[in-house]
Amino acid sequence: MLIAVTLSGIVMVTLGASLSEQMRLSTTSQNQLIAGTLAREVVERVRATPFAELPPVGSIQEIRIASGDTKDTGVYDLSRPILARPLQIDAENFSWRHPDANYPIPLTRFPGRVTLQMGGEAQSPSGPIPETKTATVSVTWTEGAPKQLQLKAIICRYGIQMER
Amino acid sequence: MKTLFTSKSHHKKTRRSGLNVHPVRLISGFSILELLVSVVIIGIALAGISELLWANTTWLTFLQNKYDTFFAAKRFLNEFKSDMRRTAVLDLSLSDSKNLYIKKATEDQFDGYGFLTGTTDYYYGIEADTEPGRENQFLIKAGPNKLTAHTVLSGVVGPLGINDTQPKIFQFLDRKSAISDLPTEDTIMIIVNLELLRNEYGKTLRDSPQKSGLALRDEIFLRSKVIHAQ
Repeated sequence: MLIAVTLSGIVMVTLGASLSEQMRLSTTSQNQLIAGTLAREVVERVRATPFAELPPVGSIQEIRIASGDTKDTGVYDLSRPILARPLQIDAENFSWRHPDANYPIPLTRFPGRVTLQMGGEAQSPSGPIPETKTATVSVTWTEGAPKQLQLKAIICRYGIQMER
Repeated sequence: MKTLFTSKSHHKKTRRSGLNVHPVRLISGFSILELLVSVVIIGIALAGISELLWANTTWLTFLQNKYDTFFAAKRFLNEFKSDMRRTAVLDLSLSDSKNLYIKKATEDQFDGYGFLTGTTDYYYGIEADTEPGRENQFLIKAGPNKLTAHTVLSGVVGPLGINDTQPKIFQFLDRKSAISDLPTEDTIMIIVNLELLRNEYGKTLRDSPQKSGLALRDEIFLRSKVIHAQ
């Protein structure tokens, strides 16, 4: 009987650990997928912003993920559309399907933060590139341990952005 | 029968005395009670593992559905983005949050400097999915016009406007960063809102769990009308 108990215990612990790890991997995959999409969207948004209206060099700005969300931290700069427009879900203008009518945000709302840090001129082997800035997008979230995805881009004054 | 129960002590004795005597006990192993307890313990362990296995299968199904939906959405958005990159002008009289009539350049409508030499009419719009079992789901169609448009994305379920029964996919951002449901002369960017939920294999939409759904939002910058308008 002791052998049966021991074997069952070993099998259960091994299988349990393996299955739990798979579930964690599922969550990680999903979050990484959405994090990558959010980061690319921020870069697209930065490129579409007039050069003079980009956030100040050296500052780290938080970008809104979902408007109308009770979990919204509200720490972004509302006066800057590039930061205040929701990245994933606009719940102020739309209703989304959700089992809980009192909290109408989809279950796929990204559970993390997105920040944008503007840097000075981009550096090339021959020195700084004039009329450029660097943008670093960081997407962070927690899954047991903190996770981060970072994307960097060079923005040129004479790129595709609209001058007003 | 009595000898059977005393066989252990007898066996010890014979081993201790070094005699090669066959043990009296011929039936060895667990008692019925021990077996029952073992079976119960193994049963409990298996029940726990099975529950975990089912939970894991469900999670993997969610993930598989989300991946499937996500890549379908990204495929559509890549195609849409490619078209918008070649578009400077929208048809303002026909476009709204559910239909988009654009004038895009085809591959042979560019000069050697990347400027547009002409445009061709193109359409993006949303329509109800009429296939049985896909009630309340919508399709995004694209093509040279509404009649010949083909499906580029299925499984759209939202987002809905407050009083709408059909998803509102497009929003329009103008150069003053104002967002509206209708395009204007100042529109510089198209915002695409998508909420997707596809039927799980062998299930109807109603039985497919909401966790399989996906919400996405993308912003696509149009070409400068000042430079590229035709």
